[in-house]
Amino acid sequence: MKKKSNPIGVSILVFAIVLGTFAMMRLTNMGTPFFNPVGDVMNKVLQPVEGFFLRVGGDVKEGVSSMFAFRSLQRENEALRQDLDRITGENALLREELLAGERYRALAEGEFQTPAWDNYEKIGASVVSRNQNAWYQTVKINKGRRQGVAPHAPVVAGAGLVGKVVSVTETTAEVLLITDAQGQASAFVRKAQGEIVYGVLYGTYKRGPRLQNDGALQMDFSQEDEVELGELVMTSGLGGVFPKGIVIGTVSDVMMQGSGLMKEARVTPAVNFDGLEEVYVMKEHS
Amino acid sequence: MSIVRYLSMAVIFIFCLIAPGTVFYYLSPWGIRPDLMMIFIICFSLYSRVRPALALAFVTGVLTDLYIGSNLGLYTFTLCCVVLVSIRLQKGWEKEGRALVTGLVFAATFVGQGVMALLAALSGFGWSLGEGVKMVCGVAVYNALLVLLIYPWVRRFFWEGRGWKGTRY
Repeated sequence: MKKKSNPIGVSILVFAIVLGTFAMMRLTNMGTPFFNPVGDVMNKVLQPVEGFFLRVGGDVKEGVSSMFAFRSLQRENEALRQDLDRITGENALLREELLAGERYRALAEGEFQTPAWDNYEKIGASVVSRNQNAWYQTVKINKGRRQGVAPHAPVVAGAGLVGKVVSVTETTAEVLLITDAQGQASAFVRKAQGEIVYGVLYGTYKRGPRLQNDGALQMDFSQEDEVELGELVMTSGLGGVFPKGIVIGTVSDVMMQGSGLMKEARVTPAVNFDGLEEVYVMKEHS
Repeated sequence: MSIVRYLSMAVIFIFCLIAPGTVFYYLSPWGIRPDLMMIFIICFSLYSRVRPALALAFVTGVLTDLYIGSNLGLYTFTLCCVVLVSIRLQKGWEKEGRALVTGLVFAATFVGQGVMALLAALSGFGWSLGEGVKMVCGVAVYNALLVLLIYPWVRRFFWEGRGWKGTRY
């Protein structure tokens, strides 16, 4: 005779499994370190294969897109030439300012603090995989605990801020991109006249295309703050994770929020997250 | 199952694990990528009994969670649910075909991604409802389209017990 199942028992079992899963997920949430030797070994073994697959994928994409991009390349070339002319002019001006700054620094030697960047050692790393878990915008890099990478370490690329390390294995690390909504940063806008406007910067998942690969950032200010298009956004160092003075991007749009109490600015990241291949993990000098 | 079949399964598992973060990163229209692990488990459960399918879902789920290194249980629980849904939907089949399997993969992925979204929402992932719905539907469609393309091989490997070169195990 077939054994009859007890519906109450089954319900309790299902409830317990759901509760257990939920508790486990909360305990091992993104950024929470936990003992994971199996994951460490798997990441170590599969890391070269991942790097190979990522390179192959990138090459295929580049090959296919270049076949269809002649006209846009021509337009881009023209725009780049114009940019180059403008930048050459700006560069001459900046050189003058740099020389003035050097003279000023020499005068003030010993008076000012060392820039925050000098307190950090930079560990170079390559991106081996992206967004493994579709719920977060992350990249996996090929440096880990063995090379001195630790959770919450800031990560930068040549042009600016990338994000922070959220989990580390022996040979790899997971980096949460600044474009992810979970990755907030305290930032300021450096105005052309030299004054500073502070605000909080975060990913735009609520309104923007969070599922897309390219980053989108938003920064909130108080109503009185004056922020102009093209102004530079940098980390303020107040949050405790990112050191002061790392470039995040430039202001591309400013608008008043619906409530009328706050202003918000769209920030174009300095880093091209879609083409990110190499990064630096910043490790504080011991 | 022979050792060759176990090895083939292991290779497929590894591919399903690393491809979404590498190859499919470049094949992600609107940011949507397929959930290959879900396709693997659904296809296995269609041509298998409940217990082996559940065991495979549990083991692959645990390994996937450990490999990703966060939110342990998300994949394990979801893949086990997907097995039960797939087997439930498959009941009463007289014969199988490309359209039927594609439809079933769509439905099972839809449920699986829905479970994932629900668990993720309860765990405090910052996703809006619109983005969540887009993700669930998008992944279900992507998975179904992939299965539509690879159906002959799926049938040969999982149902007829043949591998790449047609060897019977």
